[in-house]
Amino acid sequence: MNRMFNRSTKMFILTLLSVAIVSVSALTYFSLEMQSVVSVTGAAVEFSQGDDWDGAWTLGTNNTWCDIAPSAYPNATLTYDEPVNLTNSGAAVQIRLRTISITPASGQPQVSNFTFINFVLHDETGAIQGSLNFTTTGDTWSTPSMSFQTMDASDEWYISIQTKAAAGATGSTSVNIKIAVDVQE
Amino acid sequence: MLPEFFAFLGVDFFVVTSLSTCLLEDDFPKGMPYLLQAAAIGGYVHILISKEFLAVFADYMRFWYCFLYLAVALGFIVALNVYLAAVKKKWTLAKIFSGAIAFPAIGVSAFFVSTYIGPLLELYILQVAMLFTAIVLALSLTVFSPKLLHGLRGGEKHE
Repeated sequence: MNRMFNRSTKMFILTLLSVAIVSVSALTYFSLEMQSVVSVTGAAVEFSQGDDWDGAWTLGTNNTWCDIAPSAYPNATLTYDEPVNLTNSGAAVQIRLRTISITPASGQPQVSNFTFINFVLHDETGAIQGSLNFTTTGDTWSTPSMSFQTMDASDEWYISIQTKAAAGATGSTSVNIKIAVDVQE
Repeated sequence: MLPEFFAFLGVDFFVVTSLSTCLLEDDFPKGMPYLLQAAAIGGYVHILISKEFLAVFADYMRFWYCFLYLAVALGFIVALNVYLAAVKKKWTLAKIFSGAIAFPAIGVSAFFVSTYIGPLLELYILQVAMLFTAIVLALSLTVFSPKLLHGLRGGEKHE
């Protein structure tokens, strides 16, 4: 009888312990399954300097953004044919150009010195894939956006820039535009 | 399915084997259920470490150490089955044990492992099969070898 009791007690304790072990293991496993891992890797799509790159401009960290200060002539269109390139060293992805900032910002009186600054994205054949066209109304910028475009693996695209200042623009006024590239897998 | 699923499967097998050895306490060493419970807790710690160091360990490494744990669990089950049959000479009990625990455990494991490594199976099937067999065989022999050899030579019959 005592032996039977011992066995039952032992079995009961082991069963409780087993249920506890399996439960916490299952909980840990499912929490592991729900945990997402984001690892930082080098960007596959990045900016690089083109033939018309100006030494005063800067490419951002990991070449995922660039800071450009193009010139503009009063009442005349100035074109940079290939100041910046965009290369994709990975698989085909969706990309778009996005504005980070523009200086002077809207509300500053210097803004009215510019008529437009147009960033045009060309693929490897020269076809236009999209653009960011900054125009002014008084001292306010109209900040553009671009839709995603498919960029094939190992493609090298380029960006051309067209600028134009207002007829009576002051010569010392400059603009800085930071643009980034967004990537969708 | 994450590689840790194999560790979780191993935990389940250890727990089931622990309860079985407790039920059959006259046929197994007294400490066996507790040893198997400790091994199950080890499996839980295994999953926990995987969770904490998820970003550090690569998939390949996680698969192998979880697979190894599952192989150890299966090795224990097979070894206990052999122990019942060869050392204790309890053939009926050994057959029940193999039918109820050993073969289902091996079958379930084989199914999940083949599902997980399906795309790689064609490339590495021979290596995986040989490694798996070697681990199970080595564990069986190292845990119970003296008694096993004695039993195979026709040692004392307990039944």
